[in-house]
Amino acid sequence: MNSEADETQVPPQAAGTPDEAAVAEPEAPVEPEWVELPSGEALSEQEAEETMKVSPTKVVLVAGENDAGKTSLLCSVYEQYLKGDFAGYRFAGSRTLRAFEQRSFLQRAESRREQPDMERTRLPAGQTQLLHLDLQAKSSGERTALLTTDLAGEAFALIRNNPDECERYPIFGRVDCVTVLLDAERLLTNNRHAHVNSTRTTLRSMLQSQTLRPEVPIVVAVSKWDLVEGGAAQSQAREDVEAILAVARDHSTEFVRTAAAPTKAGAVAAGYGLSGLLSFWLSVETPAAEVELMLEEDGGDPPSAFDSFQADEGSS
Amino acid sequence: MTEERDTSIMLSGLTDAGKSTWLAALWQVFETDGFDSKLTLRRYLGEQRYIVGLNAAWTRCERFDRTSIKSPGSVAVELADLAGRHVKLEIPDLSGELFRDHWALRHWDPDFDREVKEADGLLLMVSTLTEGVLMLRDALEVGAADMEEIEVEGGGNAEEADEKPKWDPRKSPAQIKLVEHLQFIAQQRLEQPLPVAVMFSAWDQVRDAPFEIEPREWLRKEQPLLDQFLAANKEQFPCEVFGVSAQGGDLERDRDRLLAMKPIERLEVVDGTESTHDLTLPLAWVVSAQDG
Repeated sequence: MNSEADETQVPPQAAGTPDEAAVAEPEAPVEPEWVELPSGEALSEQEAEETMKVSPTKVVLVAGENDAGKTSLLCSVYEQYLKGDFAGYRFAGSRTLRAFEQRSFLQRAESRREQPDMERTRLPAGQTQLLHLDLQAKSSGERTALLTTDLAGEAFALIRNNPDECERYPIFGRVDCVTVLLDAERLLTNNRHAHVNSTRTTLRSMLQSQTLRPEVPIVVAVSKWDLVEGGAAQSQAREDVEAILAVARDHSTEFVRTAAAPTKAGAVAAGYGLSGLLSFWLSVETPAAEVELMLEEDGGDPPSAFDSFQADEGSS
Repeated sequence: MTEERDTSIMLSGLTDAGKSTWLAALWQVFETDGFDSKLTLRRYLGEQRYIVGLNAAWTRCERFDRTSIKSPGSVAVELADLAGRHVKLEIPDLSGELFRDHWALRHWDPDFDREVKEADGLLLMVSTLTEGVLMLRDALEVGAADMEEIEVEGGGNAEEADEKPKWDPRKSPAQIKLVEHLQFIAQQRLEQPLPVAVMFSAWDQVRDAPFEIEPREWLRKEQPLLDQFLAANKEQFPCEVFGVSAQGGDLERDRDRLLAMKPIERLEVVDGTESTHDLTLPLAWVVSAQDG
């Protein structure tokens, strides 16, 4: 079918004179000298800081329990750009293209799974990885780098039990927006209250750790919203969100409904709510002076220890 | 006095994008007496057996024999533009091998790196027949109900469904590999601008489709990530988009018709709504883009 012919092959390396070839080791491995290229993997904190130095950057901390849909949400934002510009922005580049591809391939139809599934993020506690998108506003041409954390749910379980865990993540001091994911699927089960409490405790723990900026905006994003859309659980979900946001009274708050990869046919479209969420992330203000200060800080006073704050998952 | 300058143009693209076919067909432009092209051949630099062999196979509507036509690695010619300026054109990496797995391996050959750093322009050959692109688009449009159908068609049992497939970067969509390729180039060139002529190969196949579409629109619809990237980085990568038909049709289906045609008439370059047999048009654009 292909009317354009295939490429020709590279000729084998000149083997020298016949005599030389005869004495040469036939299978001797020749170590090629390569020019190394960027890995395309998720960024470390240090690599993320390099990005922040070269362009205006928004850093979003995406928090939530295991399987709440954190990675799925980030991949879905990326995948919108595979189809065209999105939320008023066009794709201008990514230092983590390979990481996005690796994480999202299971979501694609090629995986032939009945329900999209995500590889669970596995990282040692204290290790941060961030995904990077460089976006250009279509209207103004201005570019903004978006760095989103991709931390394991286990990291937030530790934070929930001990706010001091937040100190392991210096990037928290540079976060422009905290987005906490609430899993609508779990709101439909007997684990509803446990899930809400756990998420609420995680948020409170992060806020009380004093590692975040005092005025950082908080978003509660309910993932898999398609499962509750239009049903009685919809109003319950709203109540659950309000219960969580109650611990962030001193912050500006947002409630966003999302369905990155809906499984309930006809409820909402794929990528539901992502445009609004992305727009919010990119619109939050970063106080430049504070950013400089935070990057230069060497720790300062440690946050208070919340010895009495050892809530187990599921406790009320 | 005639102005002379050395211009190094890279011809790059994924495997099977049609680079060798384009080169064989380009030679036909130079071999056609009286044909009015934007760039004309002054002389071939070095051994020309390779390109002559390619062109001979092309005129016979034969597929290139991978074993009998050995790539010299690069081709260099001296051309003249309409203003009489002499342009030395070097096209490295004809094999596609050097390009093949940059996305997967995350390294490339030092010679290729040198070409990247010294290039004055880039001809980026992109196949319109890349299955991965269409698969990607379709996959992203698959809804929940469709997913169920695919599962049935796939015939997998529950046990198979639980097995998570292993990610293979070589199977990533073409547009993602191409964007990463350009990002690699940008990094290695330290952001030094590089004009890019995107050439969609096998454009005759697109023309046969039951809709009319221009190359720029094809880029937007079929390679949207690449399209956005080029639009957002137009200072780094000034860009023009062409549709190129270097065979004139399908070698099996249309063979008799192609053999009966004048060879030069098999060629087509589409720029917007304009069409020409002059295959040097994208090259001429890249050369002129250096003038700013």
